[in-house]
Amino acid sequence: MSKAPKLKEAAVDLISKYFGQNTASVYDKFFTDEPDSTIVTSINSILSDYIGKEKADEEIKKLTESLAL
Amino acid sequence: MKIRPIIFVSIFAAVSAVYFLSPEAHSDFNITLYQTFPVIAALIALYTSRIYGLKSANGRALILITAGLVFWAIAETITYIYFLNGQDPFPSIADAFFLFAYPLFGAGIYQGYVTAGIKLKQVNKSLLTVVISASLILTILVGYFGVYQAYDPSVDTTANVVNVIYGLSDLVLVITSMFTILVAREYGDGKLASFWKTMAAGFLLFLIADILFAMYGELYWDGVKPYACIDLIWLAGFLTLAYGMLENYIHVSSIQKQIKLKLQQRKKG
Repeated sequence: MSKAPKLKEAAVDLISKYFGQNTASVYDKFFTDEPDSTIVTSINSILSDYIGKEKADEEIKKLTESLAL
Repeated sequence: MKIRPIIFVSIFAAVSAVYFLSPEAHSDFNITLYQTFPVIAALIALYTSRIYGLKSANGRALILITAGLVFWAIAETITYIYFLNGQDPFPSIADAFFLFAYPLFGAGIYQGYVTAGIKLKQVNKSLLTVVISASLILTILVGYFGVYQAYDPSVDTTANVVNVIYGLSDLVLVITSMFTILVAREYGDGKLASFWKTMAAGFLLFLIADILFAMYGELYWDGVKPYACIDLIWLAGFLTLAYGMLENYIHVSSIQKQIKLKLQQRKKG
């Protein structure tokens, strides 16, 4: 079973948490058919800029652990 | 060099010059000029919180702070109308709007604190010591000038109750300002850290103005400078919060634009 839809949903939820629903819905469209690596790189990039590298790493670690990636 | 902070500082400098050079600090022109700032701050905050929505944890924090700013803008407008009519605005319905904003700010900061996932045991001990020490000093100042000295036997009970509640509400500001510093620290060098630092600075400016007003209220009302220019510190508070909200809005909007552009390019490709 592909992990991509679950990762996408989790990534969009994380974006919504910090950037709001409007931004999250745009990313939802962007992440469609994108590989896992692109999704993780994208959220790492925008989160690091917004909440700092350390916090971004912490959030992504929680996300990947929750998906058992 | 960033142009936006320069613009905000220039605006403050210009208004300060008007206040200090005017023969009368509380002239109709000056109070009208002052009145624009809480309204502008509330409008900028409303515009910013629109892009978040209630489902966003960070958004909820911003929306609660925005609600507080809107209440203060309403309160300032009511006060302004009283002044224009030559009436004493204290106590009035304006005080209800002023006072109800404080728990909204508190709730907003608390939401920010929860979103940041701060564990007090893991906070840097030196920072915590500085924050607690500053809180204690401000609490003593607010407690003495804003609560203890707020009681005036020459005025009626309603006025005294409202005065004391203002002082107690300022204690809420002390705690929220300190929490804001901890929240900002959690986000390192990220843009959200800058946002919370700006919020902390804004709330501290309001607190300083409130303390000075509690100390020099009579001289303020008599229009004696520089005490009558305490307005400038409240104005600086509104400008600071407006700046923080605006910077946040610009950052999140630019992210949305960038990703929409990528989507368009993908559709064309």
